Amino acid sequence: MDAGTYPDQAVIQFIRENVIPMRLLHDQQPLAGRFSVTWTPTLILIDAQGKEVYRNEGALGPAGLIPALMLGIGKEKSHSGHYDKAVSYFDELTSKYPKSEEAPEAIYYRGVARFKSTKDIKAMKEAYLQLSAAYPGSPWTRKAQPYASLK
Amino acid sequence: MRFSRFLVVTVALVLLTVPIWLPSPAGAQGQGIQWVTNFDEALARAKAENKLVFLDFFNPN
Repeated sequence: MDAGTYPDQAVIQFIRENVIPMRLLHDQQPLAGRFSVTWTPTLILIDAQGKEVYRNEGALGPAGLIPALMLGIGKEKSHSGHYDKAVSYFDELTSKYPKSEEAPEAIYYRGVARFKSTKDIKAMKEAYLQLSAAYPGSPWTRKAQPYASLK
Repeated sequence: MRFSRFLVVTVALVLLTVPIWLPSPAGAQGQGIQWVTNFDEALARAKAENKLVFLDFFNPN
């Protein structure tokens, strides 16, 4: 990732604006043990209390790292009740990186965030419709399928 | 004589201020990712800036 990902200007800008970046050797204790690192690179998002909220194992290129971080941040925003911010991250992910492997998952969790925000289950049906149109073969489309029959 | 002394002083002032105009090594580094090296500092900044910490456990070999 040193050769192609971290020198990328879009990666630099996204990291600068959205996260606090810290690099550690894969065997640096006690943190490697605390976060059960068994492979490199292991990329983890944690909150200010040190709680892990997202993990990726394996190298990512610029077009892989940014949507992965967007998804992780969006899910944390949703879990912490900041639904509008979560939807904003999911929207940006799906619009800028529609071909990323995170895009279908972002659409699913966008529906979840909208449902939690509005208490309107139609948000999940809309997520399913969007998923079935754009990503018919995705596991996330199958997970949203039960909401298809909602009136 | 007086003119040449003025010229020397002027040139010296120009040379002294050139480093201000040129991009410094720190400035060049500022264009890259500024990795935090201390875990407690990372958590404190995450709290202060309302952000998550991005940990990259890497193998340099």
